[in-house]
This record gives sequence, C-alpha cells and structure tokens, in this order.
Amino acid sequence: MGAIFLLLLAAQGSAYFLISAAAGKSAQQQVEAKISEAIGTFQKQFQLRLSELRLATKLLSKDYVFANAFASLQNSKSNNARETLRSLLQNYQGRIGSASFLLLVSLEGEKLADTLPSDSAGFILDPRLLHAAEESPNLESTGVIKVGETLQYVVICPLLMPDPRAWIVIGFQLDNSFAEELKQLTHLDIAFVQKERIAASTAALASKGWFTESLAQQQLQNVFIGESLFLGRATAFPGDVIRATEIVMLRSMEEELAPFRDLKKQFLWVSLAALGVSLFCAVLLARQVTSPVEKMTRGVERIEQGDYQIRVPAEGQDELSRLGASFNRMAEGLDERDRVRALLGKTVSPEIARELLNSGLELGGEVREATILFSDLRGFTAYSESQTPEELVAQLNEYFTEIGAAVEREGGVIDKFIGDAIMAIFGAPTVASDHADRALKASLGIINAEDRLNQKRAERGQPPLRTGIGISTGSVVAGAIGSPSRCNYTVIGNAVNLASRIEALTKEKAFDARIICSESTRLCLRETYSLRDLGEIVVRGKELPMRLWSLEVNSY
Amino acid sequence: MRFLILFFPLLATATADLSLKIEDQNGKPVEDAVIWVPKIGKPTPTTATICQKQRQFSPMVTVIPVGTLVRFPNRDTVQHHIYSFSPVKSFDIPLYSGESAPPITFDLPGVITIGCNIHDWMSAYIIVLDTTAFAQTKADGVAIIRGVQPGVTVQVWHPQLRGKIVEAKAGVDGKIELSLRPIPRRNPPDDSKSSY
Repeated sequence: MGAIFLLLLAAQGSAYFLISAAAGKSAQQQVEAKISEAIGTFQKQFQLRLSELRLATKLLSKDYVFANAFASLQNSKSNNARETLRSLLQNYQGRIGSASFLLLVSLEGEKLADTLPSDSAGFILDPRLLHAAEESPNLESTGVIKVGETLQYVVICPLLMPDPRAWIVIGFQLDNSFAEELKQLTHLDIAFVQKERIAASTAALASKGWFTESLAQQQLQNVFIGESLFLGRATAFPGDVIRATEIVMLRSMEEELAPFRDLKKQFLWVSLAALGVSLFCAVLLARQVTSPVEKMTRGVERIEQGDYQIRVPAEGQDELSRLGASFNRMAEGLDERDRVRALLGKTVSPEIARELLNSGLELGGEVREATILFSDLRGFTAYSESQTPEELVAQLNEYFTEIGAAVEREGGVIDKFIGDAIMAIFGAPTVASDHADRALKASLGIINAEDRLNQKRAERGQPPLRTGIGISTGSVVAGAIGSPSRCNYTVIGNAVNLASRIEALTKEKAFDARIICSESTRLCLRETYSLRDLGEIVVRGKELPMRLWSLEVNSY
Repeated sequence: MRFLILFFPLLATATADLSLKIEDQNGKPVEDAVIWVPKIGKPTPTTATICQKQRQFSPMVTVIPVGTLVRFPNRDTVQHHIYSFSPVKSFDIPLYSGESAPPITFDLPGVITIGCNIHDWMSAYIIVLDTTAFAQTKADGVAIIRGVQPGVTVQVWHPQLRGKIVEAKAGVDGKIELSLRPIPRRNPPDDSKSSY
C-alpha cells in the first residue's frame, strides 16, 4: 500500500517538475518572441515619431521668417535680435507638439539661440552630429545625446537661405513617460541606457534603482534587477550617429511565469488532493483487509484457547469473506465436536469417551485383565412403585451421582446404568495394575457415600437405601462392541457375569454381606482388607463351586 | 583642401593666358566653377540678367565685375519672391511678375546666394569680382583667364564648396582638383525627389 502511495507521489512529483521546466522554457520562448515583436513595434513607432520631427525640420529649414530673424541677428548681433530668434524658436516648438527643445547653432557649432532650460546653459552640441550632417547629402543627422540631465533624440537640419547658414536642432525627450508610452504598445518594460546607466525607464524598473549590466546588442540576456529576474535585449536607436545609448526591452520573468505559477499551484493542490484521496482509499482498503485478518487472528487465538463459540464476519463474496466463512465452518465443526465429546462424556465415562474417540470408533477389542463391579439397590423396585417417576428419577440421579463419584474417585469407569444398578470396570480402558484394590476401595466408597446419602434421606423422611455390591476379576475383552452404525465400549467375559451373579448373593441373609468378591479378585489384591471367607459356593450359572469373600464394611 | 595646379604646356604661350582644367576628387570635370586672380585691372561695370524660367534661376552661376547692374525678369506664369541674405548684398523682392523687379547694382565684391521664397529649390549665385582676370568653367571643366601668367595663385569658387572660396595653384598639366561635397538637390519637386 505504501509502495503504491510512493509510486503515485513520484509520478505526481515528476509531472510537477516537468511542467515547471516546460513552463520555464515556454516562458523564455514567449519572451523572446515578444521582445522581437516589440523591437519591430518600437522601430515603427519611432520612425513615425521621427518623420514627424523631420517634417518639422523641413518646414523650419526653409522658413523665410526664421531666415529673416537669423539674418537680422547676423547683421545686428543685438540682444533684441537674439531674443526675437529665441521667441521664434519657442513659437515653433509650440507648433511641433512632440519637440522638447529647439536649438540654433552656427555652422561652426556655436549656440546662437535655444529653448533649452536654464540649467543647460553650458550645453555644447556634440560635433559628431554636425559632422554627420555635413557629410550627409541632405545635410541632416540624428542621434541620442544628453542635454542637462535628460536624454534627447535630436534631429539636425540646416537653415537654408537658400544656402545652409546655420544648424537647427530639434530635440525629442527620451524620458520615463516615453518609456511608459512604449510599454503601452509593447507590454514590455523599457529602459534607455547610456553608459550602462539607466537614464529613463518605465516605473517598474525605476523603482529598483538599477544600473544595468552590459547588454550585448540583439542578444537575449538574463538581467537581474534588484532581486527580480528579467529577460532583456538591447537595441540601438534608429539613425543614432552617437551610438552611446541603447533602448533595453525587458520582460519580468516573474510576471511572465505568473500564469504558470497559478497553474503549478492548482496542479499542486490537485496532486495533494489526489494523494490525500488515494491515501484515504489505501487506508480504507487496508482496513478492509486487515480488519478481517485481525478478527480471524483473534478468532484463531480464541479457538486455541478452546472457545469454539467465536465467529468472524463472513458477509460478501471476496476471498477474505470466503476465508471467514471457512473459519466459521471450522469453528462450528470444532464446537460440534466439543459438544459431542461432552455429551459422550456424559453418556459414557470420560475415559471411555476418550478411548472411543481415539480408537475412531472402530469395532473390535482387546483382552484385558480387569475387575468388574456390580452394584444394585436392595428393595428399590418395590419402593419405586410408591413414587412418581419424577421423584424416582430425582432420587436415582442423586444416588448415582454419589456412587458414580465414589467409583470415579478410584479410577473406575461406569460402563452402564441398568435401572438402579451400575456396572463399573477397573483396568479398562485405562490400564491399572491395582484394579482389584481400586474396585474394593470403590465399593467401600459407595457404601460410605450411601451412608451419607441415607442420613440426608432420613432428614427428608425418605427410607434408607441399601446397596449390594459384587466384584470379580478376570480376563475380559474390552472394546467397541455393536454394529458399525451403533456400538458401545464395553467389556465382556466371565468375570462380568460372575460379578453380576455375586452381587445377587448379597441379598442372601445367610451371608450378611454387602460387598462380596470372588477368589480371583482376592488373589489380585495388593493391600490387605478385612475379608470374611464365605466358603465354597456354587454360583448360579456355574457348575463348580467357588470361594467367595465378604468385604467387611466396618473394617475399612 | 587639397588642390593641384598644372600648366597646360601647349597653352603656356607668349599670349600669357592661364588655361586651367578643374576636376573633382573623382577626376570628373567640374562645371560652373569660378576662377579668378584678385585685383587685376580695373573692372568695368556692365549689366547682367538672371531670369526665372520654369521655376529655376537661369543661369545658376553669374560672374560679374563690381558695380554691375543685374535684372531679374520673371519669365514664368507664376510669381516669384526672390531674396538674398548674403551680407555682401541682401535684398528682398516680394512677389512679382514679368519685368517689374527693380534691377540691383552689386557694388561690393563677394558671393551672393539668391533664393526664392515661393520655391525652395530655386537658388542662384552671383560672384561679384573686383578683377578683370576671371573665368567660369563650362561642362568640360576648362577655363581660360586671359592675360595672366601661368603659375599664379588663383581663387576658386563652386557651389559644392559650400560657400568656401579656395586658393589654388595649377599643376604642370594645368589641372586643379577640387574636393566637392554634395549639396541639397536644386530641382523642382516634379523633377526629382528633392528634399529642400
């Protein structure tokens, strides 16, 4: 899940950086195109301005009144003539809207009259301009010069009377407002740069207080102005014979990249949202997988601890649901097996139940040396007739609980309940070499338990119970006996029949015995018990007499 | 200003005429150059005519002795307004037709440039000399000054010298080379793309 998330992150990240790089490149190309276009626009616009100035110079150059005023100055050299000429220049400047000043210089370059501000009193016209004018067929030249603190584009033409008699200079100011005017047309920042110093510029550049780096003409360059990056290109003014000034067109990369930055921002948000959603989905998906797995793990742990009631969610059609369903079926199976085992343990003794389960309920048996104990309630049949079945069952259950406990205490196994009688086995299915001792101890325990029960019965006003016990030892066949579909674990053999017959003898008043065991049992005993010899007796169903012994209850 | 004066050996005869050939810096013969040796003889005033015809002055260059009377008849159907701002002789004859312009006497030596206030391109030159030794080149650039010994330093004027008068001495081949500079075209607008 994490890997997929990282992969998505990497994909988004690389897309982001590719977009950034493409945006940068595209911005540079766009700026390049914009500047090329802007230079064309500037040149056209400037030529327009220039032709306006040229028209003005043409008119001035042949102006008869101007010639007269000039001749008047030449003839009189009076201040009045000089002032008249200056006044005339001011008048003409008014007519030429875009002119920033008019200047009249002698053919030798001496200033004769001007409309320059007072701070440029010491102004001398660059001789290169006059030289260029002299050399040109039209006696005209143009150039960018500094007048006082301002940059001026000037047009020089002769005053023709009809021979050239003086030079007329018309200035056009390259100031911030002209830069702004160009910006309106070109959408670029403009700077007029002389000797690597900005003489005038658009507001955006002026605020940076910038001195330009050297810009190679006609080449796009990165220029840092303050902290901001600009792309710029320098170009010469048309017809500038001085060639000390350049116009630099700049585009702020920050502004150029602004739309891309917005796009990048949007992309970043979308990316983050996508990552967030995918992370959310991943977690959700992980939960959907891990939650059932965790539940399954807990379920397995519970099963390990023996709790077969546990179930895990198994709705749905996916693999985990199917696994859950399988788990639940397994738990059900285990639960059922457990219940069966418990039930089996109730209907048969736990030992038998275990033996049955271990043997896989296969029919067959083995020969064992075992001691069989039969007990029977004396006179209970007659008593039972006076009792309701419920009372009878309750009394029997109470009785069997007590004597069953006595048998089990000695490791005996109750093979079956027969009415008010029980048959118990010692030495099978669990092998116990002292099975005879155990049987005797169990019989004494039964009598003891019965005595205690009788006390309780007496308190309840019920008649006492009296149990007779017969014990016999011998080889028996122990195993699952019955049909393949239904069988019991039991023992069969002579000792079983004998024990039953011997038990019947306890009814004989002559013997006055509550517990009688056979000689074979006595021979197997390891411990000493108080046994009373009952002599050689022919037991019913037996041809030969056999010696029987009464276990004296009080002696225990 | 570079110049060379060279004698023409064939023309350097006992008659003592100075024969010159004026060429420009490209070796082309120069027309309308005026060459003179100052203050020789006593110039006799005469009369001259500079007419305005087809909105041009004709002739363009007129050489006259001091004291000469010049008439400015207008042979065009339009009026002209001729003027001179030259310090030697400035005048102003506003709009007139035919012969109505008063003749003007040029009583000081010097170069006078005449223009027309109606037609920018019109200009003419009057060179007023206080000498009898002068000549004006024709289209072949040749000029002969009578009664002047070869080897004499001469004064030369031409419109394309832009108002300057140069001193020159001809070489052995009698040639003078002038360094001429272009001047604004002097043709009517319908004749050319004149600027001024």
